[in-house]
Amino acid sequence: MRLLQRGLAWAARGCFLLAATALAAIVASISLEVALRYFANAPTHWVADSVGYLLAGVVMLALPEVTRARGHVAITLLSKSWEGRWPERLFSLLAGLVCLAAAWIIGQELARQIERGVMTQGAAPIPKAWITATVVLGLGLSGLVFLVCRQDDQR
Amino acid sequence: MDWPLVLLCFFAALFALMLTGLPVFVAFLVVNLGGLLLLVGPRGFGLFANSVFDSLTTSAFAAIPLFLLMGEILFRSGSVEVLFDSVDRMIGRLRGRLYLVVIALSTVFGALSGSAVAVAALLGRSALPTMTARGYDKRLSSGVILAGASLAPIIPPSLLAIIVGSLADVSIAGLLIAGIIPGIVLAALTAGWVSLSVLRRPDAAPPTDAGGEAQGSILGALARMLPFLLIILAVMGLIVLGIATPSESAATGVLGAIAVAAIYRRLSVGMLLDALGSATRISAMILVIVAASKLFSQLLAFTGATRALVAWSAGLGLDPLVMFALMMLVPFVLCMFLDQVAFLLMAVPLYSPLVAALGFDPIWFWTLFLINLTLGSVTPPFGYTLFALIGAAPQVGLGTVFRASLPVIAIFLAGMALFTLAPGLVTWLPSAL
Repeated sequence: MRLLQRGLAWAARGCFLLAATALAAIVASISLEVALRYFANAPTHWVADSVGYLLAGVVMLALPEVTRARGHVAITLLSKSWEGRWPERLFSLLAGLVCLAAAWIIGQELARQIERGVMTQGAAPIPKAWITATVVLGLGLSGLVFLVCRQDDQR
Repeated sequence: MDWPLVLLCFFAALFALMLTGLPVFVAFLVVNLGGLLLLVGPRGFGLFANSVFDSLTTSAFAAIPLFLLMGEILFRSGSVEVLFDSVDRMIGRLRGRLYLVVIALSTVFGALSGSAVAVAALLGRSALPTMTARGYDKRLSSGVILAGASLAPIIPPSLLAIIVGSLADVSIAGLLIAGIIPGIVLAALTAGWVSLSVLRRPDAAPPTDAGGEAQGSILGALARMLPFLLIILAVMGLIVLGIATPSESAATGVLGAIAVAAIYRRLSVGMLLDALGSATRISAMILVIVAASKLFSQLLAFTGATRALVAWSAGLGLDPLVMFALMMLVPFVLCMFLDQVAFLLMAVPLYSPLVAALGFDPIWFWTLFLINLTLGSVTPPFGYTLFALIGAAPQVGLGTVFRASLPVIAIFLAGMALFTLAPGLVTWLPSAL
């Protein structure tokens, strides 16, 4: 179990590094677009679409690390009273199962997109499966983190 | 199923799940997937996948991580200390000047973080102990911090305004700009209330407060904060003049913030990486909720509940002002219990068609709605911002913070009444875009 926890922690951190890199890439690409449009009168056709793709990467690749750090927005007025007790574990289990179910559902869509070679719409199309895969990865890893990394391990 | 029952089931399930302490995005996932399974069956799962994909790739949301990154870099660049000293120097040796310094600072911090809870926690940890140590009244100090923190979701760049604009299909630039005048009016009302309180009760502020006062000339103070002010004004200016989109302004702001850090000699790779990590983390926390909740509005529309609610409201024949008051009452009450982003994502799908049906100016309505959200979160006994302040400064005590919030609520209610009677205060600047 410890090995699995450690493996998930490494995976979550690795994904988080990629997410932060995607955010840096958003800054770079929008700045480039602004410079090219206003100073060289040569707007690009790919920045708007790329920013959308990168944004999906920022959110979904950062998700497992946010889950690992128990950083999600939650309403803890009542749940503070059962910290460390069975209801907390029950809800953690529920959260994990829901994330895995969502990953499985989107995974079905991913398989369909790969099979049919679906591309994104817009000026700079890429295989839609590339983005969907980050969603499946983010939700799947988060689900496992909810199930395997108990809250008291983070304290 | 009747539409009131549909609404009741959806909202009751969502509230119940949120109150268990489940992450808000998981609560939305449970309700959306459960609703989809019941209403459409497994063949509707493609809808869910598409809704997540669409919201995650909405490039307008890129403004959120970019504004967060700009704020993080400015926070870590030492601008905050420079600003504190400069504002302190400019206000001078006025009785009760720290109250005014805190109002000015919280307005700026609000612009940087966009979160009332974050500003309350920050000032509760930094400014409040200094104020109480110097003999400032605990209750008045707490009230000033609560009022200042509550400006965060209103003063641009407001993250909530970006989310509302995107979900309700209202100009994001317009909503961002619409917050400027109300933010300044509310800050001025707070400053007026503090000045009156000190005049009425001179013991609320120490007679001489020279300790820690910044040295140097006023011009020098202004010069020191100039790079910082230029960034904030440039970002807002680009949006106001319609030169750049909010995302482009935010990216430009990030580069400007890096330049400010270099001017203040705080630029380092480590600082930039920390800022990047923090902005990434907070963006994921917010945007995963947006992605998980998108299907909620589609399901409500699918059941016909949204259309039926609009028809029912129109059939009531109530005066639009009464409808407006009712529509404002709901967020005021619920935001005492719920996170602002979570409530926003539940309310926008229902409110958006109502706003159109009642003929309200969307920029005016949603700006007042944002002020109202922040008001709910400083209202006892459950307001989120109150608990952020108590958590940051437990020595002040629950009772003091609760009592401190009452004048703040009165100020914000007076402000909302003013913006209702004089809507031009909200709509003039966006209409001049």
